[in-house]
Amino acid sequence: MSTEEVRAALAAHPFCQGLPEAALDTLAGHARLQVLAEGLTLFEAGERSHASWLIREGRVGIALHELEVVETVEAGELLGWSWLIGQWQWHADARALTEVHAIRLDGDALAERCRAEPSLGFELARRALRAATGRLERSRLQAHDVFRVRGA
Amino acid sequence: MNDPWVPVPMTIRSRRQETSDTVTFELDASAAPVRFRPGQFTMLWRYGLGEVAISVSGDPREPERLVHTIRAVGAVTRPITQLRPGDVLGVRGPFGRPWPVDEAEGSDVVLVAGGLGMAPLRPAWLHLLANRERYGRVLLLVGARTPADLLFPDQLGAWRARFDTEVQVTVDRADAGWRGPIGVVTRLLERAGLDPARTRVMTCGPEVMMKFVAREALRQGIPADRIAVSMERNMQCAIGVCGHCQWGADFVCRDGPVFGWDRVGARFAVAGV
Repeated sequence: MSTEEVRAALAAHPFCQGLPEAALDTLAGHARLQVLAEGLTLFEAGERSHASWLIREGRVGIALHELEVVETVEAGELLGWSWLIGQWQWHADARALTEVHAIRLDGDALAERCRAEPSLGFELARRALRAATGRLERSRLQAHDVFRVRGA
Repeated sequence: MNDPWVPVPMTIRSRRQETSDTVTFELDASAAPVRFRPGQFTMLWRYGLGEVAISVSGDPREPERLVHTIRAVGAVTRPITQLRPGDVLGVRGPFGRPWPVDEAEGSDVVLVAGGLGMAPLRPAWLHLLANRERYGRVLLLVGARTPADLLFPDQLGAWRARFDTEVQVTVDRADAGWRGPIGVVTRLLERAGLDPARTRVMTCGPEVMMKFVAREALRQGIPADRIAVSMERNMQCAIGVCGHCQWGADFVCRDGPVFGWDRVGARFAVAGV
């Protein structure tokens, strides 16, 4: 796998849409393509958080308690942002529900680069915040349990 | 249509238990075929108990087979769902404004169904399939509480197997046996890759769900007049006379149940309307 391949995969991923060329170059230097087998655990709550995944294909389940999946993350989406906000610990479990093709970002190295290049850090944090906001809104809707039969 | 005040007796031809609390009936309408448009409803009368508005969930090309999918939630629907083949229901209708399937010709069409909302959208989906060449992309996005709450699961599988449709299903929660997406139905709309300039959205489900579907569609640039929702209110006369189903400046039975978001979207922001 060449850096060019990784860079091309990054450029094609919605998370990276509109990123400056230099930022793509930086990310490509700290990313690699992965194929994750169905059933593989990507991380578990309590473990050290040191990576993100940009999902290209397949489905990852996020579970808060044992195996109960509360949301799936799919193609075009970001999985994991704890290291970006300075939380070096996962707060959920993530498991590949199908074979997953993803770009793995090295959080340790990228956190260093973000400190050295605040504009890169801002851009990545802004995108991660957008993903987190979407997750929050969906969680609220899920918590509302809209399909529960009321007044029955 | 016959006299709109007088129920026509129809015999239940078949009964299918869809979920633990939801039943689909096929009524024999061969003596008085019910020519309906997708999205319209009828008033079903359980003699001696009362009447309730139920959307038609059958195929608009089959007016002799009147199909309704009913959830047992109230004083009338609960005893109706206990009926068996051979029992008789009174039927008035059809009533109301339909889904804008004619206006949608030439467009990509997305149906977003949540829970029992799949029932009023099913005739629209069957219409799209029967006239497939008149539409661009056709998508059916379905959300349910759990896999066991999905309506028409066999048909969803068959529709999904076609090469000319896109059918996605998500559930709010599931055990490890479920391999599909988990999360709210609006997520499917986010992932659909729609062209806002040529897309129409029709959605039916709980009001809060439709509100978020409309919001996501608007966020993607789909104009409000190309988003349609189907409303549920306490309909009694069904012809815009009694006022029981008044909603803002509209009577849902006469001016709806299908409305454009441009007309009603603001009402979703007002508590208690």
